[in-house]
Amino acid sequence: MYVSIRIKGHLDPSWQQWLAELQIVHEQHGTSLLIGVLKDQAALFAVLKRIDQLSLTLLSLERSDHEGQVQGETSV
Amino acid sequence: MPKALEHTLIWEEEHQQYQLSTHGQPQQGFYREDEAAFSRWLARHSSFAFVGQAGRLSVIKEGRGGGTGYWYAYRTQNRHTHKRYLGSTDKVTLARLEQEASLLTSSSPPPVPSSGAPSPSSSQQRVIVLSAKLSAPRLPLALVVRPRLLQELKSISSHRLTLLCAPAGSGKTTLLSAWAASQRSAHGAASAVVWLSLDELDNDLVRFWSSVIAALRTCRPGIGEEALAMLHSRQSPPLPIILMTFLNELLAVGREIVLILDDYHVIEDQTIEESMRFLIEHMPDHLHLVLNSRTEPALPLARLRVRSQLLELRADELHFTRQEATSFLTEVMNLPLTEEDVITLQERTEGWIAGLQLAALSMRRQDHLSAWVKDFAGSHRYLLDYVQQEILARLPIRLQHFLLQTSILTRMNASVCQAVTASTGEQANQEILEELEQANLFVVPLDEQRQWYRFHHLFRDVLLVRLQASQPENVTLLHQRAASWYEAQGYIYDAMFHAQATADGSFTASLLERVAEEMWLQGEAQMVFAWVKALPDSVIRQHWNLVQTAVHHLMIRTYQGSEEQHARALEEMQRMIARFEHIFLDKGLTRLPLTEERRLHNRLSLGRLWGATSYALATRDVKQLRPLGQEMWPVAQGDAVIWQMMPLFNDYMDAMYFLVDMSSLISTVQEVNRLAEREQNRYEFFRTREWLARAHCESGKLKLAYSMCQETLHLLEQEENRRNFSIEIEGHLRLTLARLYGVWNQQEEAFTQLRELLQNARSWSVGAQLVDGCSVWMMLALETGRLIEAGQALEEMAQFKHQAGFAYSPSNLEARQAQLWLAQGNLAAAEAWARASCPLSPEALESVTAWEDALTVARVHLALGRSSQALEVLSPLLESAQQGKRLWNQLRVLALQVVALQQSGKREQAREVAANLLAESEAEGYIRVYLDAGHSMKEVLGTLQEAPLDDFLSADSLSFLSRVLVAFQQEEAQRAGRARASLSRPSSPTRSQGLVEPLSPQELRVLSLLVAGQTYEEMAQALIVSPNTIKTQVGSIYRKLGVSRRAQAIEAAARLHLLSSEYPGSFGNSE
Repeated sequence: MYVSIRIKGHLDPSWQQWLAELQIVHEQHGTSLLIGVLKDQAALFAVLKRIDQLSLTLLSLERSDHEGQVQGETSV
Repeated sequence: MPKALEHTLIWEEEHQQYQLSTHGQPQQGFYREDEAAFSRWLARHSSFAFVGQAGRLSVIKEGRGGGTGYWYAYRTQNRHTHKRYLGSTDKVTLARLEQEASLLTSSSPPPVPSSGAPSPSSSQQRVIVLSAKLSAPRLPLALVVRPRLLQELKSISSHRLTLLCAPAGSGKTTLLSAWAASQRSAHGAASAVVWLSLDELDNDLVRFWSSVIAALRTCRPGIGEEALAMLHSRQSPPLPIILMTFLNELLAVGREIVLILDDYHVIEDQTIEESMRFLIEHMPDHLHLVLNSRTEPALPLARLRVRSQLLELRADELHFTRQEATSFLTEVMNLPLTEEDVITLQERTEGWIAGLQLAALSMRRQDHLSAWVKDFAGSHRYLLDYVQQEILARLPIRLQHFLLQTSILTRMNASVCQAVTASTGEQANQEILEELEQANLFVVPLDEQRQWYRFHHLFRDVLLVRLQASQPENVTLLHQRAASWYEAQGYIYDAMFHAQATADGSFTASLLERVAEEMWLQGEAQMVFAWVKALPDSVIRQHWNLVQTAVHHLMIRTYQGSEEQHARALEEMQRMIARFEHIFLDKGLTRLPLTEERRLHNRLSLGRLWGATSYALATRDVKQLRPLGQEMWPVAQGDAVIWQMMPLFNDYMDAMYFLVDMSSLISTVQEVNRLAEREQNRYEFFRTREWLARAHCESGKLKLAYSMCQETLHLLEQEENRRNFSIEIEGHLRLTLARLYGVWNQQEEAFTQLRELLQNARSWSVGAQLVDGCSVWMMLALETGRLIEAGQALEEMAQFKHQAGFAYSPSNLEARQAQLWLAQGNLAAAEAWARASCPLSPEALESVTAWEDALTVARVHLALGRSSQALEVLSPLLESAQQGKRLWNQLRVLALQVVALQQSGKREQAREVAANLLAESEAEGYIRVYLDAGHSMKEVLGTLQEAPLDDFLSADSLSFLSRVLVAFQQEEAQRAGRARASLSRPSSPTRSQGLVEPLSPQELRVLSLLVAGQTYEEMAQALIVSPNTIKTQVGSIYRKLGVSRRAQAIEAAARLHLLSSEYPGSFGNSE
């Protein structure tokens, strides 16, 4: 399962292992994308829970079963 | 685990209606005048909890199948259940429920306020709750006073629920602490604000409620004792019963209480959420609940909002306003910022308090503040990332280490910090903690004494990430140190939490091996099993004994429970056996020593055989028990007590179902009992004593059984950890006592024991004991001529049988019904039943139920005057009773033989058998067996007294004979007295007459005159009403009796004993 999660602010890359190894990509206008592969929806909810724990602001969320269909993947 | 919630009917003051909910979800509302709609609902249901204006009730329909039955109201308080008869469905109106609730509420006085010393057993608190969880955190040194929010919180006391819902770092906890502190300073000790900081460990129904009760005890010592006991018992009653018991106690407190649950978002368990919905719906008005949560809880918020019962503070309101930000930055943090700087910071952080704190801490050592602020505002950096570079990196190395290493702790004091950091000197650690507090470095002091602290959650997350990144190899070691510290302090749950975080299964298993015994003693078998189940295969292989013992405890915890509970445990056991087989088939792993391997395989066989025993009992395929026992013993022999309990229980049940010789069972039970005493297996010790008492009773050693019961009850009372098994074992002992008293013709003592037993069995929903209790009650009621009561007991037996599980004594309801018919004089029905039950071979008579059936058939024959047929049935019965060495069974046969011989004119033989009977029964004082045999027996005894048979009767037998004859006279006098009493007051109000629709007192008066043969005119004159009224009333009587003529009504009145018995009402009644 491919996911792309956009949050507000630029997150330090050291958080990557805390966020199920999703890659942290800084975007223009002060947002970050967390992108990568998750095992299933349960893993996705664990990431969302972490986002909530860290008081991060969630802006958007996309998921797809096929590579290249979620936002941001081409720009990596 | 308690069962789920059912229907509740609750009065809502603001809507002036009764709200009906199922599983906490509102279904429909009834206004006071909606009786018809309510009646329709009632017709389709059989139980609900009622919370009216006048009080609370549990309302239950009991009795016949097919939708008919009578309703009863119960109210349990202080371990006493008060019961009232309501009648058929049309009698159960909303108004009536209020009336009964008011009656039962006033008849059960509230418990004495326990403001003084806690009750003795409350000191044995089940789950040790860290005291630091139970106090509001101290206010931070850097505190911004927030009058606007404190003002809002003033209305907590006028709302049912207050919800502070905002992300981490929004200042929820600080705000509530400030509010709690203001309450304390305003009201002093009288302020009843109760605090509970929840953590992940509370995500377990039992632990959650134990923690809540522990929190409430900080202001009401000793409260919730009964609910706690119920939560931890082997046989937990349904959840609504536990919560209602608790709420009733809270209701009695009658004083305002605010219960604050901090960090409620950690609760994810659905049963806890369900119980919270129940709490919010049913809690008394003087209880106010405050939840602090990052996420919106799964509670009916919309409904509470509509009813104005919800006070909400969300993120927007909690964020610092510009004024608060100014006050925080310039006054509290003492930063020389311009107004413009403050505005910039406020905008960049959006008023998020943690963000402003981070900014303030980062700025502290900056020379050019305005430039820093500008840079800060222009950056998109995640605010928490300032912790690492701007705050942590600038701290001295020793502090950095301290922070990283202690970040694995959810709470800390100097001692645990010292253990985790492996540093020397508790004092040094205390100083570091205070230093961090002074520097506002996100440590929150949890108590006044500055002993316990915790990190701010956000800050801790940052530290954990840093720890993981910088020294991953140390994480396991740190958790192990924490686990060892908690274990040494006796905080098992916290120790387990850290052990599991080590991901080192062997470490966890070793810890479990040390603490499991204590946990089992406290009734935590399910928890231990869950922990054990999570261990990896390789560890299970190493610690197979622990794992198997955990499975065993899970089994015995549930075997007195419902069939469903036990079936679930059985499934777990079977899965674990399969897992074991898989693990030990894996040849790649090292082999165990031969002796261990043999024992392991024996245990696995025992587990499988136990599964077969459970199945045999559940399907009543009880013939399997004996061969199973023969297979079980060889594999259990020589093993620890708990494993020998499995074949022992198997054999005990076999002896309850079949008339096997008890003597070998008794010696085995005695042996295991001694072993249990020596090895200090307390549960097994008491359980085997209870079995012994029953076995002695069955085999005719009544005095021994009696002293065993009394002694064991006494020992139980003094047993420290009795709470998780005492209810069941006490119940069984009382049952045996009731049987003994019954046999000795001490009926009142027997009823006293049964009443106590049934009260407990009802409040705890112990199905098996309800059936057994009703069964004994029915026998006693029959013997004392209380036929209606006997009928009710029979109905209840039939009803509870389905909830009983399998650990109850066998009894055949049809034979019981036949006995009732005999007593009612309904010989036709009894005869039809006897004809249908075919004669049995001597082997078949080994079955207890078949034997009792046959004895009842003999009674039917005797009632019909067929003495020779009765004798034919009786002789094989005597034989099998003798083989099984069951004295009571033998004596009952002998007594009926005496009657049969007397009836058939064989007087001399009758005298001989009676003399034999006296000789056999005299030592243990069996009196009842004579009285039950009736008039013929009295005749025979009379002749024996006048002309004793010299060769047969000893002096002891003769003196016993006089005692029996005195008992006959007393019983006759009692019966005559009852008959006179009922004749002189035919108008005595009746509560139940075994009719679907009982007769009213007036109708009973009319009926008595009807039976007396009066005309309508005469009746009208006697009762001072018009003849037309009499006509209507007679019509109503005919309808209720299902008859159409006076002769039939007279016959029905006689058959149902409507006018001759004293109508004792619903049994168990406390009036």
